[in-house]
Amino acid sequence: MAELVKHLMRRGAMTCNEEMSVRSVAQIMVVNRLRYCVVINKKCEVQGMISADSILRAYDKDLDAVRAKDILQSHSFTTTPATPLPAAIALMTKNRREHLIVVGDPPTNRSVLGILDAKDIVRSIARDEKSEGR
Amino acid sequence: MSVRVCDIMHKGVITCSSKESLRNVAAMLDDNQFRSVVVVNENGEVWGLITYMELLAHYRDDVDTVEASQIMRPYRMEVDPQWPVEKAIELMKKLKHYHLIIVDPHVGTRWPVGMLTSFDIVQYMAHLEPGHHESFLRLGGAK
Repeated sequence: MAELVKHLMRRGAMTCNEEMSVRSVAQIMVVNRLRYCVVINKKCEVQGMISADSILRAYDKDLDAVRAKDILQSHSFTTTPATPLPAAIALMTKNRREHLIVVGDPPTNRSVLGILDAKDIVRSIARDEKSEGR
Repeated sequence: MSVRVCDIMHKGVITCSSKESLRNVAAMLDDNQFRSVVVVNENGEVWGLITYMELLAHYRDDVDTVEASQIMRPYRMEVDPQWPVEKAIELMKKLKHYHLIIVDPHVGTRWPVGMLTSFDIVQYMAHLEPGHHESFLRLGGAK
């Protein structure tokens, strides 16, 4: 299959600083109606991602004291624009993640290019956009 | 008084029959901007749940012939709308199910009346006060 991550990814991503409180991250997500926030450090390098699920797991903690870096999911769940879409989807389903961070090539690159969202993959299923040469 | 599930859940759900094709289920989600569909039996009772994850797992299949009953996750939990939110959160954390179908036990059947997702919980946890949105959205206005 010729389709690549770059055909479905969203350019740009919502980011937050790793020192930000979890309450603030939750507010950013709610205001922007997003279920993820990419966590970066002072050098703008990807540190990981916070999802609605990871905030939920911190429910019994002090959300104003806990930092984003304390609850983030590993930055290993990344992909690149040139990755075949089935490989990226396999990574998502295996780890039950609705979002993958898209970074530049090579994969060790830590700058954020965008997001691969399960929502856009579902849309492509609905609209028959799986065929080659979209 | 503690917050109950019915205070923060989505009222109403999208439902489909077990015979619905995978493509139609995807279209339902896309058209309605929902992230899950409740599969119901002929009596309208909860039978299973399809989220993005179930759809993605069948991305490479023939989406016009695969049916909802083949990909759905059977759903047997009963979450009461009168539960305190904390009880639902504990269930989500324990089972790692982040979409809870809410059924009303008082009608005597497993009819879905709403959905509680992890994002609803995040909204509750964010403690956003009315008008607080503007301070975030205004250029340079974030505190």
